[in-house]
Amino acid sequence: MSESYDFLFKFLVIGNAGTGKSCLLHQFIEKRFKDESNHTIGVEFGSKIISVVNKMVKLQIWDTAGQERFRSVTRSYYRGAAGALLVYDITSRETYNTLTTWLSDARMLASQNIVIILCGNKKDLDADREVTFLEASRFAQENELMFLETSALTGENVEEAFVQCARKILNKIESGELDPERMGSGIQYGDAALRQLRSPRRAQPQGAQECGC
Amino acid sequence: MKERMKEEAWNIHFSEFGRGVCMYRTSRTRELILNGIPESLRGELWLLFSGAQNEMASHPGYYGDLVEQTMGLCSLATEEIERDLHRSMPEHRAFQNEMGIAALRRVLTAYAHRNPNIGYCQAMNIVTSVLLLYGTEEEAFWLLVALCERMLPDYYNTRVVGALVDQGVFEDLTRAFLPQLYEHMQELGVITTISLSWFLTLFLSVMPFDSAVLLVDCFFYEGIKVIFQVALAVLHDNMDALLACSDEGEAMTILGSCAFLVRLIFTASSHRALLHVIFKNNFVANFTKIPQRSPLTGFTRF
Repeated sequence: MSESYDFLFKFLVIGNAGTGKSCLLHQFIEKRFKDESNHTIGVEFGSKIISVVNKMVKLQIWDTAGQERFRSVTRSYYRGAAGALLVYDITSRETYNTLTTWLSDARMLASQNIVIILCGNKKDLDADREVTFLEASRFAQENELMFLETSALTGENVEEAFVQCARKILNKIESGELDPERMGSGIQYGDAALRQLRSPRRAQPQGAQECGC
Repeated sequence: MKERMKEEAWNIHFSEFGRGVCMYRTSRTRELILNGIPESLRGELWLLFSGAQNEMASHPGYYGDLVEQTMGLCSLATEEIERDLHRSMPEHRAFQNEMGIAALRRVLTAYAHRNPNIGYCQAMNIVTSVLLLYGTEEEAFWLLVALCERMLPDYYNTRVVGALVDQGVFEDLTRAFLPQLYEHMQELGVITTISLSWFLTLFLSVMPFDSAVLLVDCFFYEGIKVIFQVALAVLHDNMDALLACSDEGEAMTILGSCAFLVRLIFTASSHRALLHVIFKNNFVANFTKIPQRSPLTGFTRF
């Protein structure tokens, strides 16, 4: 494969049914809203390479079904995820109320150091809002989550959600808080990074430029 | 014109082997199905093959009563149904208006009420939409009963156990028929979960409609075996690409994209050819030789 990247991060998209998880993923990858779509059965998958602070990062994203009865299936995908988008629907209090369940699942089953960003989706439907920005950001703070309100319809904050999550993981790698070599970290070195490891004198930005094509 | 010829062939068959609540299963029947069921007879034959016809006849008024009882009821199931009505077959005209949506709502709600052990499971909506295209609401309901309670046992229950068991069986079949690929898939990880939707929706959610409905024809006649065969054919058809994958993400991309199925269909210019593509690999002939013990419960299937 011709694609080159420095790191590969395994990501999850989780949250109640109907919150727009697949639409967020689709908007992120295809840059448009997916009209006329089915719900997800089991697990779907997408990947994209993004540039984050001079590094090319390949996101491998597992999009899960939200219906309760698929939980046992989707749980088996949590293992070794480095990051997650935890999605609720700002027009549905119920999807917000179940966040703690999703959170404890993710913290228990994915990598211990999983970086989670809370996404209040359907921001475009402000008139039907049931969950305020303030209360959700308080929840995020209490649970050490990043937080954004997103709209898979307009695309607002969608790319940002993925990028912010990836950036935080990169920061943690650089600060040594996260060790990519550890089993189940959800992080792998890409070809580009491996090359740099082998010839450490090579300047890093140069490596990034190579893949910028 | 072609439809007329098919209809004629079926009519001759009916006159010889019966029509209505029962029919002999002959090699000719199978042949006729492989040639394609005409649109006008599809609903009738599905009812016949699945046994739904009998149940419907022995429960006159049952569906109507259920609809009446469930009218205006609110439950977890009805909430879940409501959320999915507009994303069942959104691309089909029949479900772009309130009439089609209302019919789908009634059938799913009636079923959830009849069988609380299942209630409503995502995927039932997709299958039911297709059933509604070929029959009345009552017929679609009884076909759904046949699917949930006989043809796909425990597939849609609260833990989709039946479908998961069959993923295990599918894995065993992969080991038996495509051992090299099986080894490789074990290394890659949990990619068999991708096939879950193939089984739960009888390929309706992943294949172009016109092709998938042919599989449904075969499925009603022969049962889940057909879905196993198609699933194996899909793996077989993409074997080289799958063997070249270095991680499960790549494999998911291959199996998750519609591309694989499109390829399967392109190589098949007619209905019959499509089914031959699927059956040519002789998964059929050898099928009965393997003990199909399910890994979880020890049930023997088929």
